[in-house]
Amino acid sequence: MRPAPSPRLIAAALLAALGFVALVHGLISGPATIPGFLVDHGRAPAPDSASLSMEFLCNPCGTAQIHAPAIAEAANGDLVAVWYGGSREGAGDVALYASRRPASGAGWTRPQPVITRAQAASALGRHIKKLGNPVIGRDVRGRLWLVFVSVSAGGWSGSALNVTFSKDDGHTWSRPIRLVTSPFFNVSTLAKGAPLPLQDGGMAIPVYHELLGKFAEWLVLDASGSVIGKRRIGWGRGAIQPSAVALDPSTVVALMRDSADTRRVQRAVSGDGGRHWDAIRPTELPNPDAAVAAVRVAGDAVLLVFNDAVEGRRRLGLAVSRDEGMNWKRIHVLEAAPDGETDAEFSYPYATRAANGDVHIVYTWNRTAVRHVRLGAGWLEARL
Amino acid sequence: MSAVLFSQFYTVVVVAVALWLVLTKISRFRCMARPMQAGALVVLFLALLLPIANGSAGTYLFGVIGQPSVVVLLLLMDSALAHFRGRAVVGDAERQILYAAVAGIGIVFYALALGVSPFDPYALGYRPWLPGAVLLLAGVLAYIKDAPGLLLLVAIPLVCFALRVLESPNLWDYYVDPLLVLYASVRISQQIRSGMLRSRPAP
Repeated sequence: MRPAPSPRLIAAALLAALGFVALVHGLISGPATIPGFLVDHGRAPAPDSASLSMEFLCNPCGTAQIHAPAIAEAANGDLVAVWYGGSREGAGDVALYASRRPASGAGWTRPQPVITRAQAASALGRHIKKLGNPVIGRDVRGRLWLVFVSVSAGGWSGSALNVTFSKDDGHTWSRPIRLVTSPFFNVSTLAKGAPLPLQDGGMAIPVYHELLGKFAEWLVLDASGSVIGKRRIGWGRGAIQPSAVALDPSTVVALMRDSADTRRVQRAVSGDGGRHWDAIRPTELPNPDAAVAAVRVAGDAVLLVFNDAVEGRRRLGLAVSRDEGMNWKRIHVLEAAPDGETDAEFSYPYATRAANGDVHIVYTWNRTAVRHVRLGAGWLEARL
Repeated sequence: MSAVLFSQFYTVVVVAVALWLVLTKISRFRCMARPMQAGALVVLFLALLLPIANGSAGTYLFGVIGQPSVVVLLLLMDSALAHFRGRAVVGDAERQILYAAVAGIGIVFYALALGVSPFDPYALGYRPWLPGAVLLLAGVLAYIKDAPGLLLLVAIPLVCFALRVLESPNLWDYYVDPLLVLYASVRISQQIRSGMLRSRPAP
């Protein structure tokens, strides 16, 4: 006759059963599927929508160097731009800075630090060596999300992501929280493309991995900022820094920087909200291993801001596609440095579409200033 | 206690216990009275929290290694308790099985997580039906084979995941981490080598 199980074994079995029940409860009480994208079709265009305007958002910007600006339209219509700046990229004095342009049309405010390295370290309870790329977007509830890169040890391949929220259109920000996205000491996830709002209040964020492998990924967060899903867009050592455009609640196109020496902007499409992605393919547009920015414009077209060259970042242009990024038409040149200016750099563009259909673009201008371009909705429509 | 502070303390506890276990390998330390040995653990914990250069050793460790898995914490605590009690909850045979499983699965898991293929097993951990089902089977097997230590190592991290004890919302992070995989790999290779040496015929 088999001996009765020991009390210890019974307790362990009960604990296992309890854990399983809790696990099931946790799973069934959460969202069953990734919610659809919030696709805003905008309102009536502004009176001056047939024009294009360019300005320096700041020049100088209060620090020796700046890089990776991002921009979003707040719920009250203000434009909020963020970037990182300091003595040099990766320095300990690098902080995230922000500037605002009120909806009334007044000029950009003086850049102010939003998050310093010390503040991030204190809020996250851990050593922070440096801060990096910020991305910003607005969710369906009107909150601004600021996702930013931090590094505790090593180089950019040791990056992790953090998120902070603003309920008052970017005037104040919540305590940052760490996003856990990787099993290897939670390192090597970075962001460059704008987050896409989801219908349930969460966000989908195009991100990328850089430790050993170099590939693009897709992150899904719930409304509290907790990671609830992750998908691989690519793998191995290929395209990174995806910039994604939602064409409808389930179709998303990702345009990416090439890091595999094909020297072409890379493209991938998902028809089910980012759960599954088609194979990455090169487009006809050149890419000198530089970031791109994509945004949806009228007629479900995709506008791309990109360095229109196979070498260097001295030329920045615009192209549009009406077939999910397969074929492109160049429509404008934003910046083109003369041949002799080999040190010129116009890079890391970031684009957002305002509710009135205008597209706002920011980019790094020679690593010392942030350039802001407004493409009027009418101006764009005439060139689609 | 804030969630961030708890997370930091968790890492500090794990590191303190690990360092303390290293000390127990020193014969002079083992000769000390038991209360003093226990007190050394407290001293180690506090030392890791001492403020140094805008932070502490604890904040630096938390930044670099994040939070080790619950399995690591349980194994370390079991070893620490065994030092005083004379026996561990997780027996030697169970640890061998665990190390073999962790080393074998872990190496493949991290290679896939770092992008050697399109498949990312880590992503399954956010909606962990499949890993959860596999763990349940492992727990049932441990129960049938009368391996209470392994059963606890399956069950407790699962409960911790349901309660979101760690920062991570991913089930994998409760069971495996790079340090555990490294340690398990070293232990398994030591066992393989010693097994090979024993099987060599005597000269």
